[in-house]
Amino acid sequence: MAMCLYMIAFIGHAAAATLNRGAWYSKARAASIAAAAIATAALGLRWTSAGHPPLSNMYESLVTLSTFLAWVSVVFTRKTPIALAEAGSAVLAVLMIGVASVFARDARPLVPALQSYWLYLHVAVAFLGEACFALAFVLSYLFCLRRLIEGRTGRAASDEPPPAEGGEKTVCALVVAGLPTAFLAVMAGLARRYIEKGSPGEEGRTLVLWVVLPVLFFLGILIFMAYLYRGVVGRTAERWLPSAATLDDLTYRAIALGYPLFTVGAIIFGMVWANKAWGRYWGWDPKETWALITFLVYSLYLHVRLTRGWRGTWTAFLSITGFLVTLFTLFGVNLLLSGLHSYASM
Amino acid sequence: MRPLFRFLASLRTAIVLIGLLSLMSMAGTLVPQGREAAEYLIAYPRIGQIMLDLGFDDLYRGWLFNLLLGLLAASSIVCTVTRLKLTRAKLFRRLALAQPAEIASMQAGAAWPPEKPLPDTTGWEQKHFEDGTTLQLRVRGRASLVGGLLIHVGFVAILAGGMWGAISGAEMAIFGMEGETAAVPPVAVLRAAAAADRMSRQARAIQMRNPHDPQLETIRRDVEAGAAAFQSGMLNPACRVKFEQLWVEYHETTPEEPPSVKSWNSRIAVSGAGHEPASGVVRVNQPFSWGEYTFYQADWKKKYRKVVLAAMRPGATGPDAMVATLTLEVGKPFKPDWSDNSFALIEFLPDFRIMGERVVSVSDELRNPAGHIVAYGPDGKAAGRGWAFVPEMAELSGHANTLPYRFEVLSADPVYESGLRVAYDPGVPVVWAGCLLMTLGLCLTFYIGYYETWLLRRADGSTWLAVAGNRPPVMLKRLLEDIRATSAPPPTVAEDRTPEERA
Repeated sequence: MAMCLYMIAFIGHAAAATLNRGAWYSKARAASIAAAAIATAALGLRWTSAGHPPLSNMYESLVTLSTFLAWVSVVFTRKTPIALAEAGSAVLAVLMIGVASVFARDARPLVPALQSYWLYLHVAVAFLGEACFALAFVLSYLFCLRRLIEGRTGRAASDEPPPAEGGEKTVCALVVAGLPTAFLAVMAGLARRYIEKGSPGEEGRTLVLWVVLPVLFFLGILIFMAYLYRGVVGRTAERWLPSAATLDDLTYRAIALGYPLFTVGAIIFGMVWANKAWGRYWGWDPKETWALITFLVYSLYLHVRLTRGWRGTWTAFLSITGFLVTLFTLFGVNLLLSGLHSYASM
Repeated sequence: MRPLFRFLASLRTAIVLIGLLSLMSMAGTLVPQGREAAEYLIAYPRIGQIMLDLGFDDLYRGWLFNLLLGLLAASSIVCTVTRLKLTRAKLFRRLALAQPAEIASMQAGAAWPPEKPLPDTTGWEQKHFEDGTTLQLRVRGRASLVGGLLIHVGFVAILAGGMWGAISGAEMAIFGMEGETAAVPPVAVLRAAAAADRMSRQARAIQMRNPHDPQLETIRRDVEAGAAAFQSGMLNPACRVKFEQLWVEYHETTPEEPPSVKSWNSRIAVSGAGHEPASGVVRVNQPFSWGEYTFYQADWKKKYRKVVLAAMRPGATGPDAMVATLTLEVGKPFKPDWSDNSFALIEFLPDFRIMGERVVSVSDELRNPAGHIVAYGPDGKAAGRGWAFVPEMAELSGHANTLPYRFEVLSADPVYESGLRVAYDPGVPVVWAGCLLMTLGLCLTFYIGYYETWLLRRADGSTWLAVAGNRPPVMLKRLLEDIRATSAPPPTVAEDRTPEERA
């Protein structure tokens, strides 16, 4: 139900932005809030029935993260409505739930290592930070789209930098076209692997039916419509897409909100818990190392932006890289590398 | 010194170091760590030697990674010192150092409409210039200014604590079954043993390159000294740990569900010189401290020491096939009175699997038990060997069985073996202090806004309002608009000129 509402929210927000309908925006926002509330209630019920917070395996982690993302998006856009960012967050939330359906859904009792109140603090706070990074990723993606469209139509606002050219334009095009393609390729590859392995849980089919085909369908419609109305899309870009400077500022604000949460939740609380459970606060376990890499990438972003004054495509690219690293820390490490956090791959 | 200071103070240096450390950290998770030198040379024939020279086999303790980490720490210290001056000036001398031109050029600034009353400036700091210009300042969120400093100091403290722990700390693993006692040597001995282990590995790597390297002899002597120190430490331990009681608690499950472990528990008693004996329960997430050591539940095994077997006549089936039952203890030969041979259970696998050319136990649970038995004749020579399985899998034991009987596993009683990690790390309090400073710094920097509201009043009566701070220009401009809106109607385009332009 939450997934359907996220989809309705996405369609509503996208339509509100492109067709400039204010009434649709408030309805789409209501759908977003309802979806987040339903997902929160479902997680609460699961918590009550399982006796532990829904943070102990991949399915629960993805659903919780998608819910956090929905709430962060709702709160973040409370004063500054950005319909397309909210639409992007809804898409990410749907994709997260879609990918979550591949993993085992049963709520198992907690293994001894996870029986600690640090599970609540460490994972929940880190997820809040990661939800902010996800929102920053959506905003950075929109930034690249904006720069690309500006480049095509040459209709930059007066206080905007000149249209993107050369390397900057290539990066924007790579981000805009490459990310969905890469996502589809990874999901299709994963589905093929599951199907070839003859996985009993039909994970391959689930991925194809619930992730690959819907994404292909929506993406196809979007590209077709954008091509069909390319003239209008370019001319009205300033109406449905905030200015590049605004998107850049909002990206920074999302990262500035998430960076302390991630640092404290993922790294510092993780260190305290590791010291209590394993007798050392840092052991260069792959999960710890990738959390550190995520921290370093976002530290790099903040340093170049705040101290060197970098703005624009390159900081957007850093923000996107940061979120890809975050995703690898969350899921890639569990699935591809073995370590002390291997219980998280269940 | 000055070029070095400039190099370390440069943000470019910090950025390059952060980037390099990120890349090396990634490499460390992709390249298997702590393997033998030969494995790297085989797995990476072209770059294996370079990887070994750069310390990629033990990357996070290697010289290159630690050099970069040290440089980043030095850069952070220099940055902190540099920031200290700037922060102090901003905290205590902001108005004293300000000039009208600086305020007039602020990004979020606008002329104040002359017909409107000025905002209430009660409590604002004030400064007068000789030309009659007055500068007024209101600051909110001063605490935010020290945030950056605290983050850097915290980061350096974490690294310092980590280094202290690496230099002075020690750790080891101890194992024991119920009733057994394990010795824990003094910290210095543990450190010597750990150093000997590292040197042994280093020696094997050197030997791969040049078996006649003169360093090898020196390393051999050092390793022997370390091993001797460890042996003497085991004879005169800092403490002895007795495993008094070991038990497992399970989650409540339905009969159809497999049992799920809730907690592994070790009740231990620790005694030694210098401290009162103490006892307590160690669980995962619940360590136990005694003296300078802390004990953590790190490992748990179910072992099967005694196995009850049925000896059957080879090839016979039915109730008459059984000759007798016997209980064998792993590793201990036993001669039953109904045979001239003695039998030894040399290996017992509770969850037997064949993986490639190896036989392994895939769990500690008694799911598919198998015992490897050797028979010895009266002369003490091996008279045959074979595997014993549960009756349902008995046909498997016919393969390559040279024993005079066919054995079947009837039962095996489990005993628990607990593995504790013993750690001593004097750097931990420094690390926690660093974490606390960093958390505080992050909250102050990112969650508390620092705002300067400036009012520049010229002798000609014109007034300029500006807002500065550590928030994005969009937010500062919005704040400026809020202040103007509370006291004045929206300004005209002409009013947006700077005081200099108006003059």
